[in-house]
Amino acid sequence: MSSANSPSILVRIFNLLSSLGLATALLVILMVETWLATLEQGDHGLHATLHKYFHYSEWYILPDAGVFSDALIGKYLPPLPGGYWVCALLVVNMTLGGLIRIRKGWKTAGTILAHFGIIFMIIAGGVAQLKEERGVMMLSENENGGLPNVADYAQSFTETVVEITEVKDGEPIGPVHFVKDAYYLDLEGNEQRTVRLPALPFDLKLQAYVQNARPMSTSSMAPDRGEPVVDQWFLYAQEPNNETEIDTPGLHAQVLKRDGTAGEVFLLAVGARAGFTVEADGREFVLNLSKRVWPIPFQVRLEDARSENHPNTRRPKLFESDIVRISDGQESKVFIEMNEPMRYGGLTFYQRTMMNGMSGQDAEATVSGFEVVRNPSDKWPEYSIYVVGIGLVLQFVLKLGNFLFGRKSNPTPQA
Amino acid sequence: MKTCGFTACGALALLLAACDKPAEVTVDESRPLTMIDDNPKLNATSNDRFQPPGTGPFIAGNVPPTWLEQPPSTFRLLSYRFGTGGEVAVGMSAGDIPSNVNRWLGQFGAAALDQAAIDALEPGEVTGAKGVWVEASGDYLPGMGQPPRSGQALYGIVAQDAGRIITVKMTGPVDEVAAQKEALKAFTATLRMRGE
Repeated sequence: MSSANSPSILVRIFNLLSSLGLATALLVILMVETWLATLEQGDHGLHATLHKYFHYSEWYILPDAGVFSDALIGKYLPPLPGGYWVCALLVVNMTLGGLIRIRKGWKTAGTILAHFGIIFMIIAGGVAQLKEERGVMMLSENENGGLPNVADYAQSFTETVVEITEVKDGEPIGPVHFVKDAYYLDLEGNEQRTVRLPALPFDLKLQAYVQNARPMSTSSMAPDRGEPVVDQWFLYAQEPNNETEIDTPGLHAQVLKRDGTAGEVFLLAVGARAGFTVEADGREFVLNLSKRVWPIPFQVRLEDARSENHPNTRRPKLFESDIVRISDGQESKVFIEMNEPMRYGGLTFYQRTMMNGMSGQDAEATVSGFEVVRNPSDKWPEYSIYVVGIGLVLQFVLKLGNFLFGRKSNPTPQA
Repeated sequence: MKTCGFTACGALALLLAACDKPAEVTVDESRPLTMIDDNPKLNATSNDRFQPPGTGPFIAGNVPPTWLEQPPSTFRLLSYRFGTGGEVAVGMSAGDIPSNVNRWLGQFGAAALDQAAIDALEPGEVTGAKGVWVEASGDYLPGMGQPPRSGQALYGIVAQDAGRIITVKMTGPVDEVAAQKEALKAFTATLRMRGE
């Protein structure tokens, strides 16, 4: 073949990226990864498995072979590309092949529309992973239930932060400064990191992060792993839970003042009943390690929580709540139940859980938990389904019309 | 040109950047105040911060590292051991200061004090309740069926608050009790009632 007839390298790349073969390979990889992740999440937990298989920071995956046999525990299957990037490549492939390269015309209009809907759906997933904020708001019917009856915040399920709140005359002064867990999750053993805080009169040195810590008093138990002991307490490292949201992380920290002096090491732990007080530059601050707080631009008050199980089971049949939304002094009664969330102010409140017994069993539920989601692509999957549906209907109608009214081919007369 | 037979995804490059952990970062992120930030507690001790709730009416403050916590009981709401036979017990009882002081002194065979003598004892305070510090030494009769012990000492405080008596009592070998006096005072000064 002469070089004049050979496609250029750019054409070759275009052909490769837009090929049906690549689409098939990517879909097979996604199917395999979904299957492996489903098996693996039983051992490693949903959050950790989703992160491993589908987070954008994971370029490749080493599937755990131990899900198939105990003899394979600690071994891995051959590596696979990260699910997020497989999806990204699939978007490129479908855009080039299913929108650009495809023949344009009425006959392919439905297919093109369906391709666009699928691309839109995958992009919605990518946007959600990058931009979504997801937390939980727990409310109690009773003021003294240990949980608030009214709240204007939700808390992340898994993400923690070091929060620094200035206090003056016993009252907090905003804003609350925070250090995201991305800055300390990787601190193992004696690794340290200095966190410069230009808005505050001190910096922090963070070290020895523990994913599931339990503060222990040395009068109850002696540290046996060389844990730093601070004020007769230390962070006892427990096995992380499969359900990452019930882990209680802990961290060691030190205050570095502007005059160069360093304070004593102190402990921070999720679930602590009070913060650690720091005095600097004549000001007082309280430091906490807590689940990340998502401020909500209105208040929600729980009026009534109702739950019901299927007969003789603990499987929820009914979770529903009457709440009052308080926004700019205006109170609005809202009813929330499973699959009927409240959408307001860019946030979606899903009914997530109930506590304090079930109706017909121990007692009526008095605590209601809402999953609060801020996701700019919240409705995109729904829209994409409509687009795909319209595309497939159009394709079907065109094919049907062609079948019914199109020119029939004349069979070749047999000799 | 038609691309045929391409079924493998071979073009994905698995490039990993070197995972350096930075020794220093600068962070300037903040959020507005919410209701969860209400009522911040300043100067909380480690016991205030980490002791699980619901384990009795008292929260220990500064517990000396040489004291070993013991399970609480009906009469010992907080209980510690130290040295070769030293004990510290925090309790709550009925009565008044003179009767409790004299009960303690009676355990050491000492004569009972009258009100004037009790008023002359070193004043003290525990969880905001006013009281007196009591000292004794000699043969100790702990009661409750326990055998007598010789060469023992007592140092503790009996305080009264709203009709209830709060006691912090240290007993043990004379030299060990003497060595722990200041530690007991520091412990007593930081002892708090739960919910305060």
